[in-house]
Amino acid sequence: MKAPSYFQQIAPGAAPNGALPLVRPAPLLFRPSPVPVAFVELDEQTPAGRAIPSRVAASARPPAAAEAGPAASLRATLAAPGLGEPAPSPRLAPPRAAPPAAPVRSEATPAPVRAADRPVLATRAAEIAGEPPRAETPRPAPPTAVAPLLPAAPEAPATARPAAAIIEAAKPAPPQAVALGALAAQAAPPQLTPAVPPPRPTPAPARAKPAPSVHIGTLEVRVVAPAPAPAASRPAPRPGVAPAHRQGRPAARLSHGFGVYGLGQS
Amino acid sequence: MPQPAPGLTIDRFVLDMPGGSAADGRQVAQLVAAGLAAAGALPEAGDLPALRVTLTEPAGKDPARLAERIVAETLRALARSV
Repeated sequence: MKAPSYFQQIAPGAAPNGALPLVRPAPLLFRPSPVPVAFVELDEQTPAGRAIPSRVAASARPPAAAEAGPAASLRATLAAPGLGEPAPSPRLAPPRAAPPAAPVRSEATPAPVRAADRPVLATRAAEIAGEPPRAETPRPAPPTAVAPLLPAAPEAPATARPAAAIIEAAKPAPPQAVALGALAAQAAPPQLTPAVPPPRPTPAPARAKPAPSVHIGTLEVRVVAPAPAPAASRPAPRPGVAPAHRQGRPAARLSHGFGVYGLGQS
Repeated sequence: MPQPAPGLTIDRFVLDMPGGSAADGRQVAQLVAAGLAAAGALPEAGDLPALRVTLTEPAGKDPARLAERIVAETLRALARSV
């Protein structure tokens, strides 16, 4: 036969056949927002459906928590690992025999309000301590002051709800989704007529090519009379007739009468 | 589409014709305008601020002949200028 594993040794009650699961996701405390869970709250019940007696919790409570009181115990429980994590190793808190009832009696002054939470805390503390849950019921109840104060079978606390349900309840539902949807369905979109595109500027018809033309600013025409004929001058000398020169004629004699009539005539 | 015939635009026409009367000048001017409009040898286009034509013609000649000479000299000068 296969040797029992270490887990089976430390938790013999956790049979592989699933008779009693040691750790299961516990319902979360109410959180207004889906904040990552930093603690695990377990609600262990015996197979018979009865809550674990509080005395077991008192006996399994760590000494420090027992000394600090119920408030410290609650804080220790809330500081447990996160959701879904297995129970802490028993090496941290080895199994031990039931402690004497004296410390329990001395610190056990539970208020009526704490009575409902006590089974849960006790179960968590017992699991942290590594004690099998089945070891709780057969133990004879010592005469303590706590036992008479607690009811025999407290009803399941509010934290016994499934974690998924609590998470779903804690999630803020979209309040405006339905209203907006209804409004959106009822509201008719404004009738918007499609914007009429501005009239396109019709292209101007192809102009007839302007006829080529010649432009003259000022046309000035001056008509001049022909030059008058040259005036009639004296007739030119005939070219064939040379002018008569008297150069060939001898000069007139000046002393024409002196020589003949002169001296000697006396 | 037939290409329109080129035109000729004259803003101002000055005729200096010594020895003639105003009626003779008006008649010659009208004949010159008609002769230029009927001319087919105009250039494609052109813009001339002023065009001066001088011809020698004895006074007292036939206005039609004078107008023909003016048109011929104008077209010749226009062809040189444009």
